[in-house]
Amino acid sequence: MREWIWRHFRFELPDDWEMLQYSRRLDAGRCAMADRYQYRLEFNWKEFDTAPDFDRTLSDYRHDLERAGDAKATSEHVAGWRGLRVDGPDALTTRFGRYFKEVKCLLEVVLIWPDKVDADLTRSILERAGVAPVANGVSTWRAFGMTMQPASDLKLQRCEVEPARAMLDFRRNRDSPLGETFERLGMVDHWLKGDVGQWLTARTPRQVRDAQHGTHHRDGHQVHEFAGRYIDGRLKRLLARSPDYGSAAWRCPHDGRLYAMTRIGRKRPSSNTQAHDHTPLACCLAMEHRK
Amino acid sequence: MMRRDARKSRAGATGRTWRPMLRTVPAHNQAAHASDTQPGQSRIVVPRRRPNWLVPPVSWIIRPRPTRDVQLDRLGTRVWRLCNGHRTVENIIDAFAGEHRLTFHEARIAVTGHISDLARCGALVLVMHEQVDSDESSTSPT
Repeated sequence: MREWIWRHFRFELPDDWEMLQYSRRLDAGRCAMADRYQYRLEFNWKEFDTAPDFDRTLSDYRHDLERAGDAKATSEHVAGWRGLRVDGPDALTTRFGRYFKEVKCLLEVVLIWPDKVDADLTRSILERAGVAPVANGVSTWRAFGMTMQPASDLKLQRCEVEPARAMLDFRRNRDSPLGETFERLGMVDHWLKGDVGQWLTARTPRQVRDAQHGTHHRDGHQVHEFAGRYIDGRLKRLLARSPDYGSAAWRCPHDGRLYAMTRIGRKRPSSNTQAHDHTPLACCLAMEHRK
Repeated sequence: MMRRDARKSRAGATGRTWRPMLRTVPAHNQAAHASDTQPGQSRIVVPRRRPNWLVPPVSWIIRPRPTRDVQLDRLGTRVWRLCNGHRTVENIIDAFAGEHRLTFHEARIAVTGHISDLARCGALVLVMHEQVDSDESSTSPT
């Protein structure tokens, strides 16, 4: 089983399930996961101030199905989740809902079954599904092979996923230069000219001044780092202290991919002591266990 | 959330499978001719069908090229070579994913993109082994 964390919701799902659809919004959205042949799970979230009336919601839903006349619904109650098993003309699904008071959010999980319901898998997924806590001012996201810990006041503004490339960009708002970006790049031998340090230097924005380049080893990874000040325009330089710029990149020896992160903003308190002890991106278990 | 989607999940995903597409077997068009240009890269020449409207006197003025040239980079060439008329699309995706250390769906998007481009220009033919709903076979899930 592999852990996924998206929008503070965590799931443990079979290793071969991949996220094919996602939503960036915090207040309401949907993600869908698929195995190699079809969609297997989707989860929907929506913020509510109070818990909904589940009895009524389920009863209304069931009534709608019965009125449509082509699906049979039976109640289910698994690991604190309430839901329905729906034998429809197109598919067999089980859908469960639960209100998470700590994040004021209703989460709905829909499992899509190719032939029959796997009760053990259902229980396993629902027992482990829940909220990933925000701690020490960072939130945790785990998706597309990366474990990311952006500052909790940043929002996911951009997410681009394509073959051999995933990029998640967290910012205070869409136009702000302040934020953190995480990338995972594959098929590195096909496109990387030179070494990772040169690649990282070449993509450093021209607004970065007083740049310093360093390299260190971390849990079997050779991490290249770049640090400096981000000076965005002459006027801003006069008006306010310019934010710090930091970037890091490495190739993971376990999967051969290149991982990179960039941060523009004030230094985190934890990074004052050992800058490279808290890179908010991990690529593999070796790196994660260090955290 | 449940009431709004009384019958289907919003992914439109319920029950939809791309398994028939994965079972398709791509094969080289026997009329196409492939040659290596540089190491790992190749060029495919596909004969064009003469359009029905191309008759004299129009054909005296308009003379379309009798062949279409397709240049393939290293990855395209690899996909072309994997399409041997025996492997299914799923087999090709697995091979491609293994060679490049990609996940299944990363490789699927890359491979099916190449295969559909090659099929569109006539270099590949797609052999379906069962009756497939056309929407299922052509739709990428992402």
